[in-house]
Amino acid sequence: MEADTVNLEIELLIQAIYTKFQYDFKHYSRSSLRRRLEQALIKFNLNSISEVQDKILHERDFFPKLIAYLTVNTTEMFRDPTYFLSLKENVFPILQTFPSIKIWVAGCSTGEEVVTLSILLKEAGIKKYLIYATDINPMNLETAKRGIYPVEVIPRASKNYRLAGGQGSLSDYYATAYDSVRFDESLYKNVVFSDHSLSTDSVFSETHFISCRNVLIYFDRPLQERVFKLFRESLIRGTFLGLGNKETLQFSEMKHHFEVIDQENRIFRKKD
Amino acid sequence: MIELIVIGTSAGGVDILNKLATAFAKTNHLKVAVVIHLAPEGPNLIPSLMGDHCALKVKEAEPGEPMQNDTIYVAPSDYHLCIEPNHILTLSSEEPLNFSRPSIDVLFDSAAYAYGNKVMGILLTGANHDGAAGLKTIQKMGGVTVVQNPSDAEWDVMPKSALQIMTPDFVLTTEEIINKIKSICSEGSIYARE
Repeated sequence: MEADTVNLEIELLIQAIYTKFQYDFKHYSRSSLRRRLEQALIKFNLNSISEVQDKILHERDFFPKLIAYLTVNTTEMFRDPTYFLSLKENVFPILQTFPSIKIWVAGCSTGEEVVTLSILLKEAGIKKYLIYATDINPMNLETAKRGIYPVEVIPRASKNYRLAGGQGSLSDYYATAYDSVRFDESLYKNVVFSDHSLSTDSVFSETHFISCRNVLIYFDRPLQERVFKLFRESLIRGTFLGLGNKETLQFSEMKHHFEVIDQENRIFRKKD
Repeated sequence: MIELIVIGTSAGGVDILNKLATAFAKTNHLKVAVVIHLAPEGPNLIPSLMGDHCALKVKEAEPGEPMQNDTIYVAPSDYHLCIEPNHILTLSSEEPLNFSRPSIDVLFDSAAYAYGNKVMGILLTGANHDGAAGLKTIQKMGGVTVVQNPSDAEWDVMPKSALQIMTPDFVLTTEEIINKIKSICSEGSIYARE
């Protein structure tokens, strides 16, 4: 098997997916896509990426199954606790000066960060807020809406909840049944989940805080630029953007429109 | 000609990485990427440790960064490091592989697809089996493979795991790996003068 052949198969598949389904993976990390396609080959018992292409072109119900494999869905509750500590210290006090707050969790995956933010907003006494949680992958959104996670995630989430300055016990917010936990419905009453592609869709609302973490690391710089423009357009003056701890605005034209609030935790504020 | 060297290590790795750092010389065509398993919390001190006695620039890899010649890129803690087919570096927060993030397999595998027969993979001391499958992929794609001699390794699990599933081009002691790197760098410098 030649590396060049596999890389070509991936380019052809990306083109086929874009032409037929309007999902645009052209600006995604190829190495990540290839690893995910290799997992899909095993799952669907196929021998090559060309066979994947054959199936998406000729079998109507195959693509929705494939899409679940193509996006990175790894996320965890209270990941990087200092980020959330910094939000409480630097962002929430200013958000509270607005009569109502709109938050966009862009690339929410299976919803762990949505739960995290809902809990912290509740503990901060913030009630008038709306979270738009968006993702390109409809199956992720279904998981996120259910609010059910394997019980194995809890020890680490509880530890990070305390490190993030949580005021009670994480167990106040979920019920355990067999090997799963289900987070309280009240955490979801101000959340709107919707299908949104950062590659192809436009801004849908004005917002006061956008959290988009470990999404842009899979995008090339042109797509990152597109996303930063969307964020700038959506955020009103003086409001906030939070990125993953290896993500940065420094290579973007948009950096001039933001000031750094917390470099270590990658929190920025729109200036104009 | 080798254009990329990828190095993977775990337990015992800091020591040997510091020794290997002294072997590199500027070539104007060679890039290096390193994964070492570290605790996910806290800063990665490897770039400054290696950089202290290395002729090449040593830095933590940043996402979206094009690979530069004569530079050693070290994976940050808690992210996979990948090399794209267009030779840009990316990071990934995908699930740990072999209980490891960064995973050596992820780096080696991406390097194999990005550099084909122009990559050399070096697998060193370590206490788990990460890296073995990735080294095998490098070989399959035509690259050169080196495993540290298990009897020379502080922890032999990692080199032994590779030897169980493949026959690398070279099984070398630390001293021999240093010489190998030196010869690649000098071969490159002759080439660069032509």
